[in-house]
Amino acid sequence: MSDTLAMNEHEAGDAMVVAFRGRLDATASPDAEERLSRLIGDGHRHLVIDLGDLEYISSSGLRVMLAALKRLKQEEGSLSIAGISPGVWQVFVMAGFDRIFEIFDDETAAVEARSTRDR
Amino acid sequence: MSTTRTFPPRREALPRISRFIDECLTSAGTDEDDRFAMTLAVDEACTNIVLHGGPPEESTLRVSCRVDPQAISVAIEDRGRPFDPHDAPLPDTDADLPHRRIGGLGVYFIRTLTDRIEYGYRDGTNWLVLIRHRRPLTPPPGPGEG
Repeated sequence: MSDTLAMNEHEAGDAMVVAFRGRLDATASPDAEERLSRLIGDGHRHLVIDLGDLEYISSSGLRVMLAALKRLKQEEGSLSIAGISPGVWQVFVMAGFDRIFEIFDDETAAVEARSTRDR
Repeated sequence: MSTTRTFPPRREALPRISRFIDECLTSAGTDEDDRFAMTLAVDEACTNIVLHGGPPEESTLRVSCRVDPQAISVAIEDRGRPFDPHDAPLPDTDADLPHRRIGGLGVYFIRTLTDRIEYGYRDGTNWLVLIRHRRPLTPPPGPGEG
């Protein structure tokens, strides 16, 4: 089990893909929040969060994602989730987040759904 | 079997507390669902303490993990403000996005993932015990059933 969170980002179409890897708990959530805030502040309106390699998430991690989703919706942007691991999926379902986030199998599907929407 | 360890009451200690619980439950042979549930419940309880309880910096967070044939119990002692998880309001997990409030999920997870919560406060110490009954393992499907 990893003790830390690694974050990587790259552009795909008009979306910014942010990959979280490792552990997103109360220790890591301030960094994750800062990273997403900075991207939104820099003008990125469409985020795809790749959780395929996220091993663990607690309510502190969910809080960061809900705050980013609410902010982006207000600014007519979007935030979707790609590639969610089974343990993280279990936490999403328990919180009811599977009903408020758009969740795709992988980054390709999430980015494709985004670009199709604007056509 | 019971194991106790102390940690500084700080955010940075949370991954170590999770690893301690995971190791305790793994070595006792508990199944994956029980490990998942108790690791998350304990992390949420300790997160509440270090973020909202204001325990003195020089105090310790004492965590005891006990595994019996029927149940797993984890006792957490801290010197922060009194906080009984039974008193916290629960979030509406069915609310749509505009009505969804940020926060409150930690206590909801603790209550959902455990079967019983015991709480007491005495002489400046919070004493919280999270108890989960061990679930029998579902046998894998037999030949021709899967």
